[in-house]
Amino acid sequence: MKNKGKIILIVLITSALPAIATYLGSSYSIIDYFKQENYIGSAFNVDLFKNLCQLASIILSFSILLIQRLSSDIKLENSNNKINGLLELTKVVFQGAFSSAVDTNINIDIRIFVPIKKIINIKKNETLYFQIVNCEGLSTAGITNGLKFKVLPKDERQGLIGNCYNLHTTVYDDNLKQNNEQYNLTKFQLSKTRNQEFSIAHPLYNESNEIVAIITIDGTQKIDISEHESAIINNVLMFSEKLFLSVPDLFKPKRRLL
Amino acid sequence: MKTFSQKEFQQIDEAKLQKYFKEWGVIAYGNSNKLSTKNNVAINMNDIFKGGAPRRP
Repeated sequence: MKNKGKIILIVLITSALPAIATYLGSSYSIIDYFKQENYIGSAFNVDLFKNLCQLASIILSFSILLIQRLSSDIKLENSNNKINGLLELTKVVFQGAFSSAVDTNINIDIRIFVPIKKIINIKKNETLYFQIVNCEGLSTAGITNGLKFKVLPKDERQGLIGNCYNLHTTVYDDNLKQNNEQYNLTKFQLSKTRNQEFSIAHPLYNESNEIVAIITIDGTQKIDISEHESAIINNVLMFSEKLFLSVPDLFKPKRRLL
Repeated sequence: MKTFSQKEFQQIDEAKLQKYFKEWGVIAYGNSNKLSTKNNVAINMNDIFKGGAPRRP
């Protein structure tokens, strides 16, 4: 409570100072009043005082905005670091469950794909892409930047993402190196996914039963998912739903103007 | 309650840590029935590429 009062007082003062300086720099009424009451003498340079007030108002507004912006950016950066740290811990724990399900220690990457929604859809076509959202805590960022897969039209679907979207269920491939050619991938997509041995794609729905995001769990180690399918899919489902409920901001669609 | 000092924390055995993570993971994500009423159906893409119908459900 004491802190809240302090914050309110600081905000009031920092907001009022430039406003007072602007008022003094533009109005004659207060200066005239002080002159009438003989608080200031005739030697007082009114024009210089007003110019100084206007200058002070500009400097104060600039400095206060700058400090506030820097402070909020630093706080945001710190919060993002904390969130990424927690996501990394969550991933490590999920990796533990996954390793336990397949009876071997395994390293995984968790990636989120969200739809690219056009604000203005001039062509009125039904092409839909899902693009990657890189989270530092969940996967190695940078390598897959800009990766996207076509999910509509259905016969042009690409990758596990396209199949997951159109089959409306969890899909997996534990033989990716061999099957990669069958997914209608471009050379760019192939170059980004070449090292993967397995991938599991799980759809996430909204209340209207639309797929709003797809989570993929992939790795570069060879494992037989079909042998442990039930346990693995249980883990993936539980993890994905929990992440979706806990950090909904990660699953927001990407907006494009055209 | 036992708390770890910085030095003690650094001495935690990596293998033990992995074991704990596995245990936490199984507790946290081992059972999906609490969140979803749907059957956990997954399609193995190998089945589709072989030309046959998916094995499940």
